[in-house]
Amino acid sequence: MSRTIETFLISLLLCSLTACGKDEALVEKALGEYCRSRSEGQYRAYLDATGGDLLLAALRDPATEPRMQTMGSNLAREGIVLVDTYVTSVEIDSIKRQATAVYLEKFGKGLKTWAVHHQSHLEYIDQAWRVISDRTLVAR
Amino acid sequence: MRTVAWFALLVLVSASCAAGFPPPETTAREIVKAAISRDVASLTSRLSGVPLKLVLAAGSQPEKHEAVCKRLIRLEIVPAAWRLRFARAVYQDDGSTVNLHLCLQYTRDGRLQLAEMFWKMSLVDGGWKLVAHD
Repeated sequence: MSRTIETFLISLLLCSLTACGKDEALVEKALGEYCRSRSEGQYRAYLDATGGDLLLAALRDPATEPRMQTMGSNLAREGIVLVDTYVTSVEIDSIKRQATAVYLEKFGKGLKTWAVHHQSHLEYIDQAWRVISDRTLVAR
Repeated sequence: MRTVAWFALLVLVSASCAAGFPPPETTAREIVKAAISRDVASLTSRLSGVPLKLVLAAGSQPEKHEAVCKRLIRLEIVPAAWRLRFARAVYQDDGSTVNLHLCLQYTRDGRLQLAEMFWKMSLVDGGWKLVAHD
């Protein structure tokens, strides 16, 4: 019987650990989608990935869509691609459903690569983590 | 015995999932849909406090219902095509109240327009309900 209880408790612990890690993985995924949409000029994907002032600015200004598309096509023409997004730290406030994340955006052009350091605030809005603010820290 | 433990775990997980409410954004979306389609019954079941009092005070007068619905979505003309986005969802410390900043995107004369609303929703009587709006 004690073996059964032990198994049950271990299962419960594993489940709760999985649930904790899930939010961090979702935050990382949201940041990846945000960076990808921004660098490739995908306006609709950008609206889905953002909230707060970032979303409001994009919705209020009709020039945002053409501007984003131009920026995306300029980067593509110059051969600059977003290689990947590396999240270095995530802090989640599970009651307020907000997160603070620090990440590196790695770009590449040919053999050359460089990274831009960012800090973002995210909020769990409408069933998804969305970036509500983003600032560049230091270019490396 | 191990099977029993797994079964108990499954029941526990299922029960915790079933006890969850739909998120406030889902209810907000339903309220906007009800206000646009003038579905007073649907609206009444998702309101509480002053907004509910306003709908009930309208009684059975359609013109008063229309005024309440228009005030809710802050639009004079009912849009044919619309989409609701959420800019913020700020929860209070106990998680039972949330302030929503809604953006209603709609088309008027072929142009995309934006109406912003600020709603306060609380967990009341087994679900999220609109308790105040600007």
